Amino acid sequence: MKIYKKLMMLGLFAVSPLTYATSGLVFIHGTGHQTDALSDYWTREFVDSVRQGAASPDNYLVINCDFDQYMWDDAAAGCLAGQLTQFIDSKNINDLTLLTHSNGGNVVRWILSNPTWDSRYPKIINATSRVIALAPSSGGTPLADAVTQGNVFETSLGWLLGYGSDAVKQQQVSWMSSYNNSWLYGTSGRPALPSPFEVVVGSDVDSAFWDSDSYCAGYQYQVALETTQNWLDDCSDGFLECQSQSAAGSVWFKDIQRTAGKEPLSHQQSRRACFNLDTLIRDLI
Amino acid sequence: MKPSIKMASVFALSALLSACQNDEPQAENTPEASAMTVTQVTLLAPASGDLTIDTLAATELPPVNGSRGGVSFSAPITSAAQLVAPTQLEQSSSDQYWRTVSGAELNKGINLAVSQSDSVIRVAPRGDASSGALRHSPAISPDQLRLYKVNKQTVDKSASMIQSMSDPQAMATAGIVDDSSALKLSQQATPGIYQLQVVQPLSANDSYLINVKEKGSPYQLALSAPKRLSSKAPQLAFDLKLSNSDIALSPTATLKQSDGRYHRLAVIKQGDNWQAQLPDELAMPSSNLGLSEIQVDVETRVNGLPLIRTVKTAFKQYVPAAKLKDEASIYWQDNKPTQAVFDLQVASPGRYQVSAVLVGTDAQGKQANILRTETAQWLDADGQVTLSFDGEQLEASGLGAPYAIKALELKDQGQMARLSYLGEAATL
Repeated sequence: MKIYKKLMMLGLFAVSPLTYATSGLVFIHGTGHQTDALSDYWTREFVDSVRQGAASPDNYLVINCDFDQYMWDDAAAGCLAGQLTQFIDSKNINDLTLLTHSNGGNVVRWILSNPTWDSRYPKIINATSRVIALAPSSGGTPLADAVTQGNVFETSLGWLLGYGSDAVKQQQVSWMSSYNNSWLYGTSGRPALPSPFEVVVGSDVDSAFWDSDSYCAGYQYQVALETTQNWLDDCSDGFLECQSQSAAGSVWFKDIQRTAGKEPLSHQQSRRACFNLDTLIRDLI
Repeated sequence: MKPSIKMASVFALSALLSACQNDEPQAENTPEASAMTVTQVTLLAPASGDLTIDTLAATELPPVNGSRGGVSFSAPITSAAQLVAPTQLEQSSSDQYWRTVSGAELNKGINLAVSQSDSVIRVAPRGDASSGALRHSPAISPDQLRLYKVNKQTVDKSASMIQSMSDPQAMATAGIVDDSSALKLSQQATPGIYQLQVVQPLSANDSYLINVKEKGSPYQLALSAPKRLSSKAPQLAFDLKLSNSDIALSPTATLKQSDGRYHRLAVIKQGDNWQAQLPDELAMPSSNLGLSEIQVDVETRVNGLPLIRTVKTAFKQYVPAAKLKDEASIYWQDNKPTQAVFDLQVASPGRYQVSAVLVGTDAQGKQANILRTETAQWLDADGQVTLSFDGEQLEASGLGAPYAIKALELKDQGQMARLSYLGEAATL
């Protein structure tokens, strides 16, 4: 009976090649204008390790866009939509896994939450099966508020003093609260996102100079870190509070629950092959 | 029938039936669509928590989304998902304050109120454009900072009150990327007034943001203010509370518009709340991008000690540029709703988005969600927007009549503003 079923399945696949899923994996960076995110934002080590867990390891894409802009901007979500659409079309992807870091989660949520903003969005929404969001800035960060206080002189042509960007401004706490309430799905009291948005939360920063674990993409300046922690809750990855990271979607795990040696993931470490993060993702997908 | 053909017939019919106010089903004439009927429904009156538009006004700012192409989308949603009305108030609390001071003031020394021993003081260079040209103030090395306690108007320079310092490079690696320097007060520092001085000579017009952060302070200033404000509103109401104190507050308020400009606002107390007056010339920002902020400052004394707090929240300033008329045409086929056509009254051309949730009824008579549907399209003048109800999604839900439209929302994608929301919109 079992063999008969298997043969039936094989037959179905043989006559109907479009009935099974073609999977794809996409790495989506955070704030910043990337032109070589594979080297400059992620690392080859991390990307190559993670994609080995995908059903089709060669069907992967590393996004390079200008996420210094507001999430809805043509250079941000528009650029992401363009690269995703080309990837979906060229490889007939219908089972898309998006791996985001930091503000990349917001840009993805923008697309998933606003299907009628851009005619390319519905196809992306329909193809997306899951989002794995590493330390997403779903609730913003008080550090964004800190750098945008005072006369920072923004114009339509950009930031004259170069201290921030529209993306930083957007990630102020009350701004993200507003966007979560009006334009983004997935937070409490708002419609659910159309695909699972599974979050990895970084909860602490290990910066002790005598601890070699600090040096996996870690921080050099312990005193400065202790200083900036004054703007953040006790539970934070050094840039984002835990409550911000877990504001949208569902928490897959908090770093110390699953990382090697129960090490916390700082905001830099949550996009690197630190403490087995890469293998945890590889095993999930 | 192909969807495009069906859409065309529906649009043609909707024009013919637009004047029809009869609730009786109207049969279509074409043989192909003989099972299609149309009913008119009157939208339910807004309830508490709903958002409405009264008088329309034109907006002249460039749209954020000026795309002319129409896009529709429909997806099933969890049958038991709660449909929650949008939150209307933004709340924020603060254990910090900030001030803008000049280079001359920093060289002379400025007095700062500190309410606890482990406070942090951040000195961030900012810009000054008062001369017509932008001056970019230089960063200050923390070793140029001096902090002394002020005792009865006398500056006590016998002991520095600094425990540790961070320079701009170190601060940047730790997430504050604005050329800030910071110092942490020593454990011996007691609440009171401190003088902060910069010993390196600064240009008199240099501009600096001084940020005093008192993490974990029992004195948190909480602000509650609207998330959205119509261009028709002459004031912004807000609520203000200082935790662990019942002292009367005398706040000052500043409007920071989305282009970064600051404007001082007059504040008056009305009962337990406050009203910040918005002068006509400040009614709207110069761009649809971003959000405006109200910043409230309080200087007071608690238990005899000086306390200063600054708190802010963001809100969307919008022009009420469109509204839904209170009737809609519902199209039916085989006793199932296929489309809802809404009339939109618009004061400005724009890209308007209408969305809603279609709910049905199960065998036990209980209502449950079927799908969320939305459409966005450019309208140059008054027009119609059609929400389609996907037949397969409806069939898959297993739900039937009576149907209802809930969470009916109108957004302006050009202004990036939510214009109206109706929790219970219509029973079909």
